[in-house]
Amino acid sequence: MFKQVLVAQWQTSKLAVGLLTLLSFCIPLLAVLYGGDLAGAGSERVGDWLVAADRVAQLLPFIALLVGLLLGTLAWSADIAGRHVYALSLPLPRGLYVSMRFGAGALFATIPGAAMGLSSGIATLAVALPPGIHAYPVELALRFWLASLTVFAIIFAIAGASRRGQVITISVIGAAITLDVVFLLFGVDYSVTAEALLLLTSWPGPLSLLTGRWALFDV
Amino acid sequence: MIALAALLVVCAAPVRGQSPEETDRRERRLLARAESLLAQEEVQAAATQGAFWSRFRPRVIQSRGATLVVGEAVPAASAQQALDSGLTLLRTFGAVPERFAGRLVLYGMVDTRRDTLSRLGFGSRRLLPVDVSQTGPDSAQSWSVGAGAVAWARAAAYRDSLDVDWRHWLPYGYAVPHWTRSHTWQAFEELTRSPFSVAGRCVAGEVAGCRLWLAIDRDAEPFASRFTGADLRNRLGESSWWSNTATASEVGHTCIEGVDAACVAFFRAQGYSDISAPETSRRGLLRVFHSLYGADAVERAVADTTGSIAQRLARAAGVNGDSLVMRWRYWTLTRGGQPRDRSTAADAAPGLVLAMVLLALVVRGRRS
Repeated sequence: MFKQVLVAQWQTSKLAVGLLTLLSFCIPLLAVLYGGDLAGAGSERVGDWLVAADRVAQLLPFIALLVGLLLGTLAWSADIAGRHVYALSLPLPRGLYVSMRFGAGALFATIPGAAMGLSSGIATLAVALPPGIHAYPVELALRFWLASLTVFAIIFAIAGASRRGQVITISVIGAAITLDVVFLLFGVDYSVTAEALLLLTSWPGPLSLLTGRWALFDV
Repeated sequence: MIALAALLVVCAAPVRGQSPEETDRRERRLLARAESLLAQEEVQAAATQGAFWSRFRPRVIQSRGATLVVGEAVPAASAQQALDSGLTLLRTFGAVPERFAGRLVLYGMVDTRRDTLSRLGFGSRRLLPVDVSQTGPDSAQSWSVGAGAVAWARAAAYRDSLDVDWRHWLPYGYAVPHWTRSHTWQAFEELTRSPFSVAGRCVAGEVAGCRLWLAIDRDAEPFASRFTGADLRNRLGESSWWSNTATASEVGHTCIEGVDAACVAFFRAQGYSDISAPETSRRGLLRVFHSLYGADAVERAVADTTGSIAQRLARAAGVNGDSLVMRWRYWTLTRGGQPRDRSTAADAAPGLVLAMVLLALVVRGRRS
């Protein structure tokens, strides 16, 4: 049964998976474009190269976010389009069906992660690093995969939640934005949205993984 | 006044056809008028001067044992706020002990012509000027004291009261925790673009290179240990002023010819700093130290007078000096990046836990 769900979900997700895999493969290689032989380079060149590698690294959490966001939404797109008739017609309990949908999406999220691991490995082999600078290809691939998996799981849960759950989620977000607008009108220097984002993205916030160090080449 | 005098001369000149009596009467009237105008102008000038100096009449502001004396032109509320905020800034960074505040009296824009400040009865407390800034056009000038200026003046006085090691090493303004992205860039560029070989060694991960760059150890021969002859010769080539000065002296000439000892002697004679790292790098080290170990550790370190700067910092934080230096190196080269202290799995754990909880809710729930 999982195979059927996997194939059906692949039909809706294949374009996104393909593009995201390509993107995930190409971005780590960009760092190498700034130079490969740094073993005997002066500290000025090493500094410039570190800055460039860091700028490339700044793109990676956004790609992870995109992977999670797209795959999480696409996992339910066929069901939403068919008004859940297909899901209800299957002789499966809802829990098992949801788990299969989640498993298929998580498997697709692994493909861009693997591509990133592969290209990070290639980039590391292509560069002669100076002493004091290290490459983290495995850590980067793992971080990317876990980050996209986390975002995927959150979006998957929100998209697959009951109407009541979705209404609550949207209401909470809407209330935060409304409060921000009210504060702005009354000249109060406080943003609920900014505070909430800070809480979510700083450890032990659930999205802290997106804001840590993403550099393939680091000090 | 000149115009008035000229008018008097012209008017007082005898007019043909007038009788002498008539002329005298007219002259007396004009003279009386001129004297009255002069008196009016003197009163006006005295009032203007009085108003001018009233702005400098001292107003004493106090907070938590600290004293600030400012002219009356500075609004009391703004001065009070500056003093409070300045003290808070210093306390936040921890670099100036609170008890030190009681030893100083800061003053700005005060009339000091007639020994005004000593008559206010501050006893043996040290008087220290503080910047008062002026804003607005001439017609609507306003004066204010900034919290940064108050903090800066106190920190500078405290720095000057410390032992020679700190005085030599601590940059002015070290205690004002104003640090922007541009400072982070500056510290990065100072390290990566420095012509000195110790900076290159530090970038390459050599702790000894970083310690020499930061000049945090007591070296017997600071110049010789922190700069190589080639470094100093490169410095000579960087500006025409240095090369002209070097060629004009015999030692400098010998340095250019390749004698390393002569380079050291030449730069030392020029009063060139024996600290390789510029100020922003040193301020960066203090900032990292503060963010890792807190304000109390900064206060303990700066109050310590035993051993080298590295030993004082390490003692205050209860850590190894090398680890502190390596944290600083990481922070500088990543332009404020947080060290990879946690594993990726630990970073991911909260997100995955939340995701699992949400998923469990979806699995249990029903679409309705």
